[in-house]
Amino acid sequence: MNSKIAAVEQTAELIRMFAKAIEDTKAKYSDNPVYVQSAVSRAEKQIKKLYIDLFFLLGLPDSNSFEESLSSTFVLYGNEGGDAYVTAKSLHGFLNRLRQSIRAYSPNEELNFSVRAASTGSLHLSFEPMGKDKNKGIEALKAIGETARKLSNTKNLKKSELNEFQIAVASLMPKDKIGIQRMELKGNVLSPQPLKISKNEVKIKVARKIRKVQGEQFQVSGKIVDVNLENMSVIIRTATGGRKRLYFDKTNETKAIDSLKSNFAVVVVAVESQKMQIKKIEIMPDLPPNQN
Amino acid sequence: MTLPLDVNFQVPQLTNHGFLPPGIYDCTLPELKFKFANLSQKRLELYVLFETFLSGLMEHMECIEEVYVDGQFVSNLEETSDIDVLIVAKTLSDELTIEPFIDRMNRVAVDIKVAAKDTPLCDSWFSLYKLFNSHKHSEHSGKEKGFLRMVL
Repeated sequence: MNSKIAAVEQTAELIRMFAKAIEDTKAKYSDNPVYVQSAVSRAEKQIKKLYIDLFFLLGLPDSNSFEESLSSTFVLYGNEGGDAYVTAKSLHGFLNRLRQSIRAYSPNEELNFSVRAASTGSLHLSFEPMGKDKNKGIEALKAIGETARKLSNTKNLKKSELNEFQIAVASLMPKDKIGIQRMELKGNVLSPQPLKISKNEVKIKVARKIRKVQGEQFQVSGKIVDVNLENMSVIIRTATGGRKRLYFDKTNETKAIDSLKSNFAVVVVAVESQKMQIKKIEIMPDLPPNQN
Repeated sequence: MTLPLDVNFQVPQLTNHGFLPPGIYDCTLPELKFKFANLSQKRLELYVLFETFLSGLMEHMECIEEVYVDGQFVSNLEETSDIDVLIVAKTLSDELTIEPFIDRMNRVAVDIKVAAKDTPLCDSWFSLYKLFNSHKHSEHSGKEKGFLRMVL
């Protein structure tokens, strides 16, 4: 255990060292911007690698785990692709526009959020609703996310056809002028009121082999940590820390699946291993934190 | 196995951890091959890639101060995925000159870092090379290990 703590400290120290090297390089070679850009880019890539090491040492498989533990995460990518860091200026612009969107959604009451951030190149900003009306905050984030998705899929967007809230969200979406190339919204608690689902109500069809077991009953148990409604898949984290991605049949009730994500631990039992079809999904109370 | 006659061995014995004792050790290409490439077929393939890389790098010899080798390749581990290489350029402009060449290389097998000497970034790479990778060798975390300086 001590060696693990030492490893975490050592990795953190190396991250600090490279971060300091970036600052020192910028200050020392300010007259040589080409060199600074090149050196900083390489140092940032190394920092990214070290962060991945750090996540691993902390028991998180990768940086995505950061947002899995939080309610709603915007992932921002800088102007030069996934490796590019988001500049302070573009972050400032993003936060201003997010504030405008939240105000447009809820003009008569001030909604407050706490923010946590992580960066491994892209910037992960997670917003937790605060104050007495947390559900309203969650609804606001959900509405922003849904509107952003809708607008991004709309061709020939005309400002005259948008309402005030949609205009605010449209301004939040990535544009060159605010320096953010791409934005994703990953939400875990976007559905505040869990739907009641009875046993066997959700049928899951596995489109990919989970495990090569023939003629044997096997089960996958764990907590659903992510649901992708676009390709109808769900990622389950097992008690041993592994992950499995299952694909749903598209005829399923999407709202029901959505509510599974944050409110239940599940036990999925597969009985036809050759067809890899899961026939039954049992919904159980959430796992205690130490079993997540 | 036949000992190469033209090698003046300078690399010390590996420690119980299977890595070099703390320090920087001069190493010729034949010695690198003899000590570290013959442990497995994968290592031999990595060595050939590194040799090819070095011969290409020689075209920019006037830009290079030193070349260092590190990573699992410089250990007794049979399984190793790449060779870590640090190229120290003589000046900032030399670093920028050789950077396009480095970028063209297969970095999956030869993980190349480049930094001009006496720069903050170069110091950081050295610090990184001196330590065990805390992710892969967490049991040795906090301890220092050695790495190689190639005799070009």
